[in-house]
Amino acid sequence: MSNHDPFSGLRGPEVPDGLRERALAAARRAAAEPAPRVSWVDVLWDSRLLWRVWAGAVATLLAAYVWAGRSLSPALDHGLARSDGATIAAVRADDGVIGVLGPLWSQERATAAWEALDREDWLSR
Amino acid sequence: MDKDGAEVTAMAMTEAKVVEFPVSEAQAVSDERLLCALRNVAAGNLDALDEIWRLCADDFYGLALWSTGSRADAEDAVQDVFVRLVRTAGHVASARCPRAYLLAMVRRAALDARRRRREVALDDPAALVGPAGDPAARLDENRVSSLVARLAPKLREAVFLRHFAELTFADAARVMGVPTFTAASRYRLALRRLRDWMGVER
Repeated sequence: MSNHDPFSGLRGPEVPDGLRERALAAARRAAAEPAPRVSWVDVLWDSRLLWRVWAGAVATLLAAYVWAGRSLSPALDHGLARSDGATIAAVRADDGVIGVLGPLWSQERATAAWEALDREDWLSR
Repeated sequence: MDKDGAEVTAMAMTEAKVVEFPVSEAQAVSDERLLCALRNVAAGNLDALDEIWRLCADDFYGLALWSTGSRADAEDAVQDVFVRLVRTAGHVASARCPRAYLLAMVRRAALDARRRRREVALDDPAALVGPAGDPAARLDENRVSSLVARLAPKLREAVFLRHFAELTFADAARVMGVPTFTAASRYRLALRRLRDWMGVER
């Protein structure tokens, strides 16, 4: 690559008149005011750590659902599988992908969901 | 991955190392004065804000303008940083590179402004660069500005931080929150595009 400088003889943008006075006056006003209380939530929010934790939690939950659906699917041959009080219903979708319905916290809802599926079709695969 | 991202990644993979130039003596003196001013502000001497302004205003405003593309947003970002500065000067002074830390604050404030506006079109591309130095060697600032305006904001930021703020690639990377190779690749990709658009042979 050549050493041609596209910015030869040029400099950055000029700071507008009056900005210095406005910015320094705002800073002095802020210094005169009592510092706002900064909570840990604000710090986490600003650092975007909260978003990363949230994204990580969602990803973990999704992975757990998929894992549960795959590992529990054999048990579904004989009905619904139960885990820690929650009923997890896994179904094989038409395209062959294991999907997960749940956790369904009520046995009645889980049974209704299960009955709504074409169970015979699933078992015949 | 978008086209820019793919090209940046490809360039980063093919470049074995990033060549860093030593910080100039003038830059080192400037950094020392900035550190001193920050400590004074942290100690309650607000007159030191003038010194910080003298040392950093051009870089602050330039980065904010290149990032937001809006004069009003850039001014808001600079003002916002100075307001934050009076409360965090001690913390900034303890940073490894206070200037890079401050520029990172400017970039975050500019990003906030950009998100609020939800558009990145430059409202006045001609304002991005100005004339300086030898008139004979000077390029047409309006043409360069309009070409710079065509670059993606992340490429513009890399060019500004490296070329005008004169940060090392490592510090520019810290400001942008990316790896050093990515910062270097963005810079080189931006220059390559500008040279292509200007019809300069490589």
